[in-house]
Amino acid sequence: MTLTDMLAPDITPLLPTEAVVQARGRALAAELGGRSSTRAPARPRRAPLVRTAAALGAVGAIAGLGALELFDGSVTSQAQAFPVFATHHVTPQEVSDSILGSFLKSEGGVPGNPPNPSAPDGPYWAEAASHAYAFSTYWGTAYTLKKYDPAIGYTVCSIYPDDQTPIVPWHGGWVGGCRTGKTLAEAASGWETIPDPHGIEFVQLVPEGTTAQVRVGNEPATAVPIHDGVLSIRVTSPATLTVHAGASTETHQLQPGVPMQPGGKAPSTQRRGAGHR
Amino acid sequence: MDSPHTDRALWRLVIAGDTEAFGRLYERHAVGVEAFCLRRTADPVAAEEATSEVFLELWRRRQRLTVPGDSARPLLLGIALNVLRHRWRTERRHRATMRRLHETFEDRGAAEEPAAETLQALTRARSIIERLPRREAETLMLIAWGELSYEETASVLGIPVGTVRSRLARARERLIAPGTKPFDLVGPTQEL
Repeated sequence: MTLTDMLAPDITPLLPTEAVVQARGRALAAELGGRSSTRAPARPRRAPLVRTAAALGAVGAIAGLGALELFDGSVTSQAQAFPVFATHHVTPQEVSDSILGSFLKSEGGVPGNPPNPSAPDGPYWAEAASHAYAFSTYWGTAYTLKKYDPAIGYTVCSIYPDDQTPIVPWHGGWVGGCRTGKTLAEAASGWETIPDPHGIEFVQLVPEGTTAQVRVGNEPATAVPIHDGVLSIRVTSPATLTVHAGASTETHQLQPGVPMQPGGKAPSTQRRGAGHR
Repeated sequence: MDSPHTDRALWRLVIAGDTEAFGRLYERHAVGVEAFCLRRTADPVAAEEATSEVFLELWRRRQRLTVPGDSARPLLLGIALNVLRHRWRTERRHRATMRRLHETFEDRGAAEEPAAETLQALTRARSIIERLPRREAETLMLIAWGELSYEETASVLGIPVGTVRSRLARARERLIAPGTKPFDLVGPTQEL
């Protein structure tokens, strides 16, 4: 087998058929056509990461964007609901020396590291970093960035230390993700798990008044301390984590060494009631 | 005057708000973009999501982007590269997906084996390229997976064509020199 064969195996069976693509193309055109007749000409705008929209597919994502454009929320009142955003901003020096600095470099947000010409996101990240908040997790200091754009809504990114991902050289020992939502609660409510050889850490930004309990094996449930609106816990045995936020209760099954689907989509997550998600 | 059949001609219509032209552009390039994303992620679900994200970004930024040649493919793959850079969760998600797929294929039996084998081959290819430094890896991806020319790759990455050649040469050296650290090819890639 040649190197070329090794690098580019035949993937035809995994790609959409021509009929599927044509159907998607027609649906996309119809969706955009329905919107463009009532829209003002598009204005240049920064496009942040829209992970939640992307998950909907092209047609759904663009339809979703239209809904978000109608939203004009109050930044201050919602920020107060998440205590982590009421803590002090990190300093530029802290940024450059941290995993946040590594993250920003990878996104082209640092002078001297020009962004991809097709995606000039550097200035966005540099601006977002001026409103970064630090918090403690089991593996060290993590950071979160908050951005509000009337056309998009809120984007909240969280970057966590993760020394378990040196497989990809440019990951640089961090892991994270962004969520976008029309409210801060939607954008900030994602959670992340960081597995390691002996355990798993669960981290979530939570609103004021949230409580959590963890039950390891058959032991009695114990309260999980929440500092500055950050729920962070690492377990080394299978455990059940229950989080109460307002009228919402979520249960997460934590399995050491087993990564969970990130961003609050884990099949093992059970949701009841209406609340911040 | 552009031929009405070129991407550049379609792109002018897209900028003017012609959604049908955008749909035609999608039909023309969606498979190529998804194939690129699939090779990069080795995850069909993630690839489909990333492809959606690429076209969403294309539509949003249509007033600022240009199609420099006759094909929009370099522009689309440039956006895809950036979208995929953002998907740093992919590694973890990929592992979970592979585990689920493995379980699924075990349940379904031999009928699904070709797809499973393809995924394994994709994972192997991805692991090879990920051993390279980022700049070399992205250059190699655009050429080997995106099927772009050296000139198109140079325009996507914003570098001279000579730099594309030198990055490829260095990548090739690393990939075919098994004694070279820290990019030793180990495990399933030893047959190289």
